[in-house]
Amino acid sequence: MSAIASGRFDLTGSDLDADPFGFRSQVAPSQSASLRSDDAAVVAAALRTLDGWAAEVHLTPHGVAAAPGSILLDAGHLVEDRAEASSTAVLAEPTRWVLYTSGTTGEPKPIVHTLASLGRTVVRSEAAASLVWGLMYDPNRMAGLQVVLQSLAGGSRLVAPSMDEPLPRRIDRLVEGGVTALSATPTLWRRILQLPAARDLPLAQITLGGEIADQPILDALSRRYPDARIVHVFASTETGAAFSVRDGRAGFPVSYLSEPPKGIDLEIRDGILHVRSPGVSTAGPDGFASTGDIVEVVDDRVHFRGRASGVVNVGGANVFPEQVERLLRTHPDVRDALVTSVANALAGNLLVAQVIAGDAADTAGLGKRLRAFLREHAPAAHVPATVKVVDEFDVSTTGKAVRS
Amino acid sequence: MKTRAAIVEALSELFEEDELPVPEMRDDLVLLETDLDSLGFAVLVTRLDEELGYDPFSLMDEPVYPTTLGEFVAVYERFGPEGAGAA
Repeated sequence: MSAIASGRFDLTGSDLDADPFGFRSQVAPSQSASLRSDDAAVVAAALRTLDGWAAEVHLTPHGVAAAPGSILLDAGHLVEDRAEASSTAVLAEPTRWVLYTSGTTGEPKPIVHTLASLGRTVVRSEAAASLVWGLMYDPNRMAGLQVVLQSLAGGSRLVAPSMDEPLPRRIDRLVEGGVTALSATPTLWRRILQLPAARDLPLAQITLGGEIADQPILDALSRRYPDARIVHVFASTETGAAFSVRDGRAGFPVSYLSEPPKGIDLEIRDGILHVRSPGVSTAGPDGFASTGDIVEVVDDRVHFRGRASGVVNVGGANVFPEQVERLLRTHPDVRDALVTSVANALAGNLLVAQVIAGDAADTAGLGKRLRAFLREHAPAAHVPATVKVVDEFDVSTTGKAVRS
Repeated sequence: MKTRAAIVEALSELFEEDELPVPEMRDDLVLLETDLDSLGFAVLVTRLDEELGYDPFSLMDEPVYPTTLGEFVAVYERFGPEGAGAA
């Protein structure tokens, strides 16, 4: 049984350990390398053969320049004569694995990790090993790399369709590969639910991350995949903290504030979720750092409302685009909504919305009807200047709807 | 004339959507005496930006606050592709 099927390559665990792309002959020990490939099998082979060999490996996404002084690795084809057990470490110091932020809020920034720090969230259990993982993310990014590491650690199979293929084709490949565990953003899950082929995915494990998981998407997933365990993950790049919620409800239990999940101390200050992470440069004297996420306590739940940095000033009123999106998604004719802001000389800013209509929706005049719907349910500043019906949103390599 | 027609159409549409009485679109119509509020005018400017491809209020060096529909149209004509611009 192969460990990774990426579309271009189908490699077993022992293939991956035998340096299938000859990386060790391209980089001398303790040199630095840059890898530019969004093929999960290539990234997995680099993780297996260059950790403990290269001083530094940059997982360089498209559009980011190779690190100066590093050797750009060639992973075009498999080499014939493979080394034996090329996965043994030769360096005393751990290899530095450099990931790049998605740069949605500026230039992509390099972040240095070790495999030990990257693998912290990996679950080692027999149940995890028996799953067949699917990859919906760029393996160079944190979310995608976590999936690759999870499958490598557990010795389980990973089906990783090319990111260049359209979503319906990628879902077909996951179905053909018998994928039982899949992690995706709420934006991607809403699109996946729209595809007839996705009905045939025998999912046992569903993970949502990267964006706010609202109740409608959690409910829709549990209706479609009644046997699956559904987990939504909160991960903060600012603080490095991560915890998951497994009860199928949006937000997280208020009890997490008094009983820290996985020992992660949480506090709400001025409506913003703070996490105790003394090592972080933005942490205060008491060790708490802002996650930048606005939260609100409703009964026994803490709900995410949006990013503090995403607040839009519309005619003097502070508006969270995510809040308007959530309201739009409650309309029966709306499958998904994306709300952004445009500068306006008279009001400072205004919101504009794009919506993807539901399958059975009447799209005639839908934009106008949705504005009327919002006027009824929200203050005037929350009503977008325009509501356009589109076939799909731009989705970034991290699976998030592009907010620009 | 095309600019005026586009403005009148966008304005009428906004009145209808907001279920407000649509006034007679005369040049001496005083905009602030209609039922459209300041946010409504901001929405109009954003929609016209999409329709006409420019927002004169973000192009002008000194702010101009048109009182009547005729003045509002004149601002758009002045900053439009065939207008005299900000000069």
